[in-house]
Amino acid sequence: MEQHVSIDTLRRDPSLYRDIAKNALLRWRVFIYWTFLGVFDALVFFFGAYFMFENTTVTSNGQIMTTNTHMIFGNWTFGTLVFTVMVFTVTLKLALDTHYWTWINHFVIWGSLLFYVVFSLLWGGIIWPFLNYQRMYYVFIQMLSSGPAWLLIILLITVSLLPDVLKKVLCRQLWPSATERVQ
Amino acid sequence: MAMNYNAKDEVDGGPPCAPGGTVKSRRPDNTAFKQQRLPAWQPILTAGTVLPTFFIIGLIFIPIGIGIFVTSNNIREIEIDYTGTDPSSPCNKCLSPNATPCICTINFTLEQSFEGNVFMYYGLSNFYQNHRRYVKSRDDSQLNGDSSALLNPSKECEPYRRNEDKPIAPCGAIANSMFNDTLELFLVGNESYPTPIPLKKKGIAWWTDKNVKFRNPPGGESLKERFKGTTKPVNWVKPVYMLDSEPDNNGFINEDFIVWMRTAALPTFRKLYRLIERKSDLHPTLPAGRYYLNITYNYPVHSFDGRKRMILSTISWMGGKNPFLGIAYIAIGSISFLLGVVLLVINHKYRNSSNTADITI
Repeated sequence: MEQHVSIDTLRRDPSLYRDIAKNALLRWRVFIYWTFLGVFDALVFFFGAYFMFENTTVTSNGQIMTTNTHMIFGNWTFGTLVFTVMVFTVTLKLALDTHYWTWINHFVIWGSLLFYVVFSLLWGGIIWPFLNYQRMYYVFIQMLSSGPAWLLIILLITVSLLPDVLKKVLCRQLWPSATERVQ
Repeated sequence: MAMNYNAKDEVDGGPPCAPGGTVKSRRPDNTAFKQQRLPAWQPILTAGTVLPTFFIIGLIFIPIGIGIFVTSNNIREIEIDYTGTDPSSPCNKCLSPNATPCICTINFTLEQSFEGNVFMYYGLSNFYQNHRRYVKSRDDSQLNGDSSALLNPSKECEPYRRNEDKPIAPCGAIANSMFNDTLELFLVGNESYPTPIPLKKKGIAWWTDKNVKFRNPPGGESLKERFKGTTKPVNWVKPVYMLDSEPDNNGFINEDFIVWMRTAALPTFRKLYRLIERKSDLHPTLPAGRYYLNITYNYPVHSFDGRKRMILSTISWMGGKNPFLGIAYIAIGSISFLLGVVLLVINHKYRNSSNTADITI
């Protein structure tokens, strides 16, 4: 599914195979880079949400409510925010690393995100009778109805993906490998 | 990963087959899927595509950040700590009260008037409502009005499940530690008598909490009868059916109770207590001047070094005072813009040298 260069290019120029010699794509260096990126992203998710919740009252306008309520976020909204940012960042990182987008890739990646949103809406939309705890009831919808929560989600996703994009572009510009030159 | 197209799966040169022979070829089908020739889009992250993105992010985030920051700075907020640990504080006498209830008064001044709807919160510090055992200690079916759960609360509520051989309603540690201070606000006007500020106690909880998640148990006419066979939580003074005189704010659907049951995320938190509705557009809701706060000090926090505060705050489209979001947007926007400029410089410098790049083998 994933082809860094097309089949015809490879047949024309077999020396490109040297780029993946000695298991170059799965070496320790790559692994450590991804681990550090993961740690950085985790810190961004958690502390981003933490500093937003810390000395403020994060409320929503209650636009979808009939009464003019100003609701306070709680424990579960904090967790839902962090988790939503994480799901979107991880999926978009995968999307950034995919070089060969077939219809299957589109379906899986965007479908994943869509499924997450739909599932969360359904999960928190009803009082499920088999559950002991109704703690997630309405938490996701209420989080989405708040402007600051949206702004924070967009900010955290951007901050998490920025270093990786930067690294990709810089390395392609300054030290392009043969594969990248051919692309 | 680039896959090799190999010819391994061709038919091997075995015994020649007779016409109409049934040796099945092991060659994979010549479909686009199996030969990996699916139509695809192959985007490449070059500097040319990414540079405009960085600039666009910078140009969008910085104005948003400035807007948020300015909005947040226009929000008026005042915080009055009334724990009373300082000996000079008026509430110091309530730390070890001679007579309950202990009432103390704190004077404060509003420098600027508060316009629009004003929200009154109570804030607690060093109170870990997000402790795992604490958060689990509730029974949502009991709070939803389930009659069987009313008389037989869940095991998670231990040790606040039964008392004096009767089930506790509402059970659990969260309900048991409900905040029970009473705060009243008075404006010291030009006349000699102070005017009380009307505080609205309805509309402070989530609409879905009050109308769907929390329900009183069904049954007879009076609320007291419906809670028959249960007892009040250990730390409460009044039982749950006497929380308020109005029937739609009594029992489990009492809004102060619902607000308390929504556990906070961090140890320093604030919860909505009362609403001060705006008067006509000509008069500010809380004019500048001297006020005093009357506190019925019931809730003990000094044993765990906690602090109690009362906060008055106006609100905007983005909620309460939130300087972090504005500053973060401005910072990230500027960084993005800077990175865009740096990339532009690098791109320009190396564009010339890349034309003479030799093909290294």
